[in-house]
Amino acid sequence: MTIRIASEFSRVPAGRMRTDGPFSGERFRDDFLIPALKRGDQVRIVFDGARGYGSSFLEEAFGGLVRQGLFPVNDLERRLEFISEDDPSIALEVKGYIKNEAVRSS
Amino acid sequence: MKKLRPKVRKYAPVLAKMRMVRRLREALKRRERRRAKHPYYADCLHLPAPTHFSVSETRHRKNLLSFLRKLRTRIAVMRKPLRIDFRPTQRMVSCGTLLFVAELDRCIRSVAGRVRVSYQGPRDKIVAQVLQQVGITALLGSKRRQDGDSFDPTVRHWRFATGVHADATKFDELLGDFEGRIAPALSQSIFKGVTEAMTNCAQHAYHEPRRDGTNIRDERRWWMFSEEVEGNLHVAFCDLGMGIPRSLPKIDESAAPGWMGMLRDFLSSFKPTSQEAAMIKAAIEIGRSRTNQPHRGLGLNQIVETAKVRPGSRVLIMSNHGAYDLEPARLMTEQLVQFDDSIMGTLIQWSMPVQNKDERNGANDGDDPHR
Repeated sequence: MTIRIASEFSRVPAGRMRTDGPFSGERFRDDFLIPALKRGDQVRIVFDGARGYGSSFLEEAFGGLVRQGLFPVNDLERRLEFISEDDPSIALEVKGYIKNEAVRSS
Repeated sequence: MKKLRPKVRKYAPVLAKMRMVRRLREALKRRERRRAKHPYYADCLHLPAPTHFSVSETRHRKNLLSFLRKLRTRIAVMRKPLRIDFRPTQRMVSCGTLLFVAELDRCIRSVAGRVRVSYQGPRDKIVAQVLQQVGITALLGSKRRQDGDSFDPTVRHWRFATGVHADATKFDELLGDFEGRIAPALSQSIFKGVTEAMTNCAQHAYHEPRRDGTNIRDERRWWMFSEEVEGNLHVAFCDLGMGIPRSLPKIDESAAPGWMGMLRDFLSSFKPTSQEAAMIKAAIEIGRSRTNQPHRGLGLNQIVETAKVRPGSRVLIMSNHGAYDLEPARLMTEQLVQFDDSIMGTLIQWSMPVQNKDERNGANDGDDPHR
């Protein structure tokens, strides 16, 4: 299953919590990411096409996924694939948030 | 018709002019008497605007902040009519203009049309165009509009936006004119910085009252400008909240053990007279927030990263009395400044060179660190 953030969620994602704004990391995680993980085995996240990604958005979407505790961390690392040709550093950044939260939570 | 005598003929133009001046003076006096009877004019305060709208230059900052204090008091506290006189104004810099627009917008929204605020137009043509371009004249109820296409090139690309959420849909409106003229990496970096600033505004800035004497119940609003001046793009963002120096120390020690000790250690290496400026640096370096969770508050360091993307870039963060100025190309890369007076909020300005045609055609790859 593939989620193209720019076309399916927003070209201008911003904010951490739902109360921050309409295209927040929390909303993306709860309304797009978690349902996709529940439906399919492999989930590809395509970051290309958006204006950019603030750290608050990415940390809440992906670090928050680990905090929620719905999926084991090694399961997430196996099932999530990140595609970012415009800015390859985004994939590294997201993996860093997942790993940091895993260490913090353990 | 009787012919005029030569002497009368010689002095007729002088006499006619004297009669005209007398009539004008009488008309002015009649107008003043009519106005004195009208309650609006009798009660209206005439407030001269500063000559320079700037908060980054010390000599102009004091005058502008004093003007803004009087503006707030008159509109939001005394709730009496005000007439702003822009005739002395010579120059409007983006940081000072943005702060003025934010204060004016906040005050006018708070009184919801119950206080009349008008203006006397400026003598300077460029200032008049700026006032229209950024919406100040519309805020002050003027319907008169010049055609924006006829504006000076330094004004034509000024853009303004305001909002109450971390909603970046207005980002394209602000920077649409610069599409293709700034490197994609730089555009992304500005976007990240701006959205982090919006998130900080939504989460932290208005957690406590502003303490400006107005008792306005703030709605977590932000204001933004973009402009191009002499080949440089300036993007400015501001909120009128409690400011970083007040927000930072309010972290719950029990949720983030050792945080206050870290902050105290950090601040101890700065002079007591530079503490607010040091707080801004601390917020960037230590990267914590007041939301009691160590994984949050990553934003300020992302805000300053933009200065490192392209040579010649600069980030200026002003919050309350303090200012943090980062310009990697400068000999003194980082400067901390503590001012006597407070802007009572946070203002962030990013400045970067806009690519010229030759750079766009030949050297784009060199600007993108990811290629």
